[in-house]
Amino acid sequence: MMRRPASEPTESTIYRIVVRGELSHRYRQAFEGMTLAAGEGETAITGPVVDQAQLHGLLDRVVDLGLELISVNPSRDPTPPAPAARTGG
Amino acid sequence: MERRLTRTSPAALAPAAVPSERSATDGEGPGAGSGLVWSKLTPPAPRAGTITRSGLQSLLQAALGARLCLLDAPAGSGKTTLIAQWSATAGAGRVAWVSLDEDDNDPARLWIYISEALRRVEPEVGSAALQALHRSSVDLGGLVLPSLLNDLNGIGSPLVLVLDDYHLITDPNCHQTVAFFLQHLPASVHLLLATRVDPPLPLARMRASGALAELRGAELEFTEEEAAALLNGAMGLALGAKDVALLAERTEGWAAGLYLAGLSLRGRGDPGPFIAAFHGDHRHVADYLAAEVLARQPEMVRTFLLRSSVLRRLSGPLCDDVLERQGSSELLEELVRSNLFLVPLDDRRQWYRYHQLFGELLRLELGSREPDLRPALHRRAAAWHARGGDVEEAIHHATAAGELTDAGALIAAHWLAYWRRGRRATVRRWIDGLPEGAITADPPVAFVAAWIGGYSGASREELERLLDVVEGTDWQGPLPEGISSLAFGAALTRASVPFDNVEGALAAARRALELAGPELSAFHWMAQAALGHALYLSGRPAEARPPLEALVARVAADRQPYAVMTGLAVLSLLAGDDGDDEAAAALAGRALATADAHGLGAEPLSGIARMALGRVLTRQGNLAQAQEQLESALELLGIDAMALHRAYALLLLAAVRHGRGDLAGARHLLEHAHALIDQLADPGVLSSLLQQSRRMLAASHRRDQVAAPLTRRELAVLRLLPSPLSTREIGDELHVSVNTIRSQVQAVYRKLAVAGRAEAVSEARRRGLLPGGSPERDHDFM
Repeated sequence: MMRRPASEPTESTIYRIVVRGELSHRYRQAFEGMTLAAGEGETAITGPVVDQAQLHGLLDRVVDLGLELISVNPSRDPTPPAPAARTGG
Repeated sequence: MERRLTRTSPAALAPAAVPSERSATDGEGPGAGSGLVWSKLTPPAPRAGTITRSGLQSLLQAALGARLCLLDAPAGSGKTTLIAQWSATAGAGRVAWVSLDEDDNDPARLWIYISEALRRVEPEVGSAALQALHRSSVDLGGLVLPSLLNDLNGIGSPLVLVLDDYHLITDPNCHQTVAFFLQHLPASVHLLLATRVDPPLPLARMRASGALAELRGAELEFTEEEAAALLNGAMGLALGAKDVALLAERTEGWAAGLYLAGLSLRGRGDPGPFIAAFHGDHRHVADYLAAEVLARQPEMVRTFLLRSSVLRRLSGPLCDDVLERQGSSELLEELVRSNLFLVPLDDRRQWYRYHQLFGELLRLELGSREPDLRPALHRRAAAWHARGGDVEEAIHHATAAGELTDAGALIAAHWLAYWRRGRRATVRRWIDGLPEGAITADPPVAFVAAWIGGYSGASREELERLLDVVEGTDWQGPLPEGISSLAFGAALTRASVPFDNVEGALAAARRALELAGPELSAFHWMAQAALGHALYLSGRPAEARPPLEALVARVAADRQPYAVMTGLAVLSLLAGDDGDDEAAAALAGRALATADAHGLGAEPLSGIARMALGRVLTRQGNLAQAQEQLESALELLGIDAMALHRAYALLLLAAVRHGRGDLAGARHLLEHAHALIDQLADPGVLSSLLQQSRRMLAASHRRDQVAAPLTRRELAVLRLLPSPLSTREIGDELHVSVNTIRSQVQAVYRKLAVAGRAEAVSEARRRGLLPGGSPERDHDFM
């Protein structure tokens, strides 16, 4: 698959991925650009997702880290966390 | 220089042209120098700190009655340990093993490892497949897999092929080949896939037909008995039943969790408080415990674990270099002895890797504590591997380090050797692994990307973008291997990947030959083949012949299979145009033989050889086979880059349909060709070929109109047409009104597909409706 020229993401959806277990700060770098909020035995990984490829990349990380996926939803939160700059590919 | 492959010993299979991965391997073993990582072909050695789960082993044994056994459970469930232990039992029989990694997402590399694994267990299997896998063009579906399956058909006793960590395979082509392999597996061969996610194979179908057996996460959970055996037996703790129960409950029987818990408890006087705290905590098990285990290590060990986690495979010398320390070999031994996540990869204790999940956790922790150190670590690793000739590792680390200049230089230096060995997918992965902007900043890499892209269906826009970079630069640095100048590389790419512009391809081919330089490199002949081909398509047959004849006379097919195949195919078309059907047939035969002998059967360009043969068969009247060849050609030429050739194939196929009497079908193909040719920037001679085909088809169509018979009254009118009577007078003669006679005459003209009276008469005579004509003769088709 050849690379397409980079373009500014024009729109992204806020996704909320919930996994079981409360994750410490070190997991933040595993989910770049996302905010982690842990509580009540779960962790919500929230942030802007620009396309399906990025979403599946995040889900792959969940698998790689041996985390148990509980849910994946576009966020209904009207005030989503401030999106961090997306670094890397 | 390509070395000739002989059919003798396996060692002869691997020319030194491919940089060896030997320094990342144990260096010895059958076929040393073959560039294989031998540790991938053996199950991991049994470790202390594991237990035998005989219940599960029995389940596994039973499951292997099915063609496919899927061991599908999350990371850290103990899959690899289970299969490795089982494979050593007597009941397992013969087991071929491949530990997969991300680099196996290149179908050629994947099947090299599978073939080698099978061959280790069954020496009669895989030799032919391996030969076909080490060519520049690897025909998996047509050659490799059928050959492997054929070999497997002949084996005496059952055998199991284990593919561990199959979830690391994400390339769709790889999945396709595995699915094909699975579909045609002989009864005595069983496939065992260990994975973390359901693979995209036809599982539902196989489940329904009983061809699939599964062991999933739930089955791999440790029972309390097993947890006790692990913690107290294997790990030497002395926990009471209640404590074991708490741990089993908290970890939910997750092997990795139990193991980490065991490590955390080592050396603690009273495990009670720790277990209670752990049990009551909500943190993710691995997160909690890994932090715990790391915290309890001496600083030196902790630092070593964290910093070495950037390495995919570890050895003493590599760690010493990358971590800028000494004595890593001893430390690694020590870590293995104390069961700290390290897996030995070989018997000689030279190479190790971290258990995947723990490696991930270590990297996370490193990223948390010393993120800025990572580029330096990767950089040193890249340099170490580059020195040792481990190209793939070197590029991986250089890319990870952000050392894009270095990564680019490695890619430019080694791409050709990998291209020649059928490892295009690997080169493409190297390029795809580079961040945005890195390719356009690196003209040699842009060339490699353009070349590979041209052969794998890249769009015109992408290719243009890349070639702009290649041509628009005054790059003074090292050139891509095999290319005498970037301008030459760009011209050659434009000539070989013509898309839709004959004059463009022709100009590029001429330029390429001018720039090729005095040395007759491999690519010189490809430029020459492209020149001859472009000249032919631009309607200059006399000019096309000499370069192609020179090519075919001077170059051995096994040195330059593409160029020779193309040359022979176009010479065949030229001979056919001249009416020399015998020569055309001989040349087409040689073109195809060249394609077959060098495994080019899956290459788009081999469509041209099939076209030439298709045309020969058409002229011989063998229309059914001609149709087969041309349809096959059309499939091969399906990519955008081959639009010109595809249009030509459509015209040839239309002629076949025409010849078989399928006029509607022929017309449909010509419409299709017309639409395609309209979109071509410069179709060369194809436009006039299209017109020719249309005319012949129309002529046949007119002849076909005989089928609409003239009525008795119309025949009566017709009989009077040769006379000097006017239309009105004919009407009087036949006692019909002026209007009636006029419409009757028009009907006659329409049915004869003519425009006027004189033409009606001659056509009617030709058809024998009026006396005085001669029977029509069959016309030649294209």
